[in-house]
Amino acid sequence: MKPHNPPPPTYAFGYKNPPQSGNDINGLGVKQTVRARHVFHNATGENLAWNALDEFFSQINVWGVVRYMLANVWQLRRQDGPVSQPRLEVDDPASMAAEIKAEAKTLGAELVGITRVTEKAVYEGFEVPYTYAICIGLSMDRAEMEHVPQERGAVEVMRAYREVSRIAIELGEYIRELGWPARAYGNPNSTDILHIPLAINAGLGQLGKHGSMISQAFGSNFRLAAVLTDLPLAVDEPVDIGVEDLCLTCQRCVIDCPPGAIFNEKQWVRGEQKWYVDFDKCIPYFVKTYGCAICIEVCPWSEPGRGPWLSEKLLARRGE
Amino acid sequence: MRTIDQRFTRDTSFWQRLGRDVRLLWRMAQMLYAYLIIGRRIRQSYRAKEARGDVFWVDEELHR
Repeated sequence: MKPHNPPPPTYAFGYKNPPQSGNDINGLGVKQTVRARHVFHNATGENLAWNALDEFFSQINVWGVVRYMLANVWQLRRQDGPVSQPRLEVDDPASMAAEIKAEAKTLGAELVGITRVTEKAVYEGFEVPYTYAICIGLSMDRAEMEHVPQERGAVEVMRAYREVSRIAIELGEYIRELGWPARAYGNPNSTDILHIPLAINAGLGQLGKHGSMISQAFGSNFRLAAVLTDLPLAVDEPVDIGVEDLCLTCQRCVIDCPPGAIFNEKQWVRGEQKWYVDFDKCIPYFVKTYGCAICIEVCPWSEPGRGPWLSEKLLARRGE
Repeated sequence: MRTIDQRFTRDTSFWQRLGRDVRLLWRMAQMLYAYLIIGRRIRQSYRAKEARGDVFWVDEELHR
C-alpha cells in the first residue's frame, strides 16, 4: 500500500519555547532500566512537557474523531465496578484462561493473550494492583485505513479504539460477575499502563521497526485494550513470528515516513535495546495529519492475508 | 485521582452511579464546548496563519 497523498513535513504550528525533547522523556539512550513517563497524551491532569501540542491536536482534529472519543469516554465509566459474591473458586487456571479467551472472542475480540502485569508496563508514579493482564486486539477496516494519513483513517482508528474498549469493558464485567476484581483499560484513555509491552508478553505479536506491534493475523492494522484482573489464569508466552528477520532488512516504513522519524537500528530505551521512533520528528507530523498511521499501514505485514505466509517463509529461512 | 476514568468508576450504589454519570456528562459537555467553541477559534486562527505562511505558537496562542 502507498500512503494517500501525504502532506510534506512542514508545520504552521510549533512551540515558541520548545519543551524538553520527548526522546529524553522517553528514555532514549538510557541504558538503565527505568519506568516510562507520560509525555504527550494526557488524561491525568499532570502538567506534561508536550501538553500544549496534545491540546492543539485535540482541537484541530476532525469531528468524526471527537465523536468516537466522547463515546469512548462515556462507555469507559463501566471499566470498573462492584464485584459479585460469592467468588468462583478456580482450580484450573488453564481451563479458566480458555474460558476467558472464548468469552473475549464471543464479545468480538480477534486477538487475545494473557500475561502477568510487570512493573515495566506501568507508568512511573502509577500502581496497578492486579496480577494478570488479558490483552485484546481488534483489527481496523483496511479499506478505511488505506486513506491514511487523511481524516478517514483517523476516524477508523478511533472507531476501533471505541470497539476494542467495549470488548474489554464487557469482559471485565464478566469477570467481576465471577467474583473477581477486574478493570478494563481501553485506549486511548488508559493512562496507567503501556499496552504494547503487555501485549508482546501475552503473545499477540512482536515489536516492529516502526515502534508498533506486528501480529501474524493483522500486521500492525489493529488496536489494543486490556483487562487487568486477579482471576487466576494460565499465562501465554511471547511469540516469534519472524518480525525481527524482516525488520532488520526491510526499509518500507523508513522510506515512507515523511518526517524521517524511524530509526534503521535499534536504540537503547530505558534499559532495553529495541526499535524506537524519534518522538520529536514523529509527533508534529502525527498532529498535522490527525494521527498519521502511515508506518503501520505500509508495513508488509499489514497487507491482508500476508502475515501467515511471511511468517512461514521467514522462519523457514532461518534453518537454511 | 490520576486518570479521567478513575474519577468515575469506583461508585456502586444507584445514587452513586447516577452522580458519577452526571459528573461524567458534565465533563463531556465541557469537552464538547471546548471543541466546538474554543476549538473553532483555534482552528480558524491556525488555518489563517497556515494560509499566510505564519506559525501558530501552541504554547502561547492556545488559551489566548
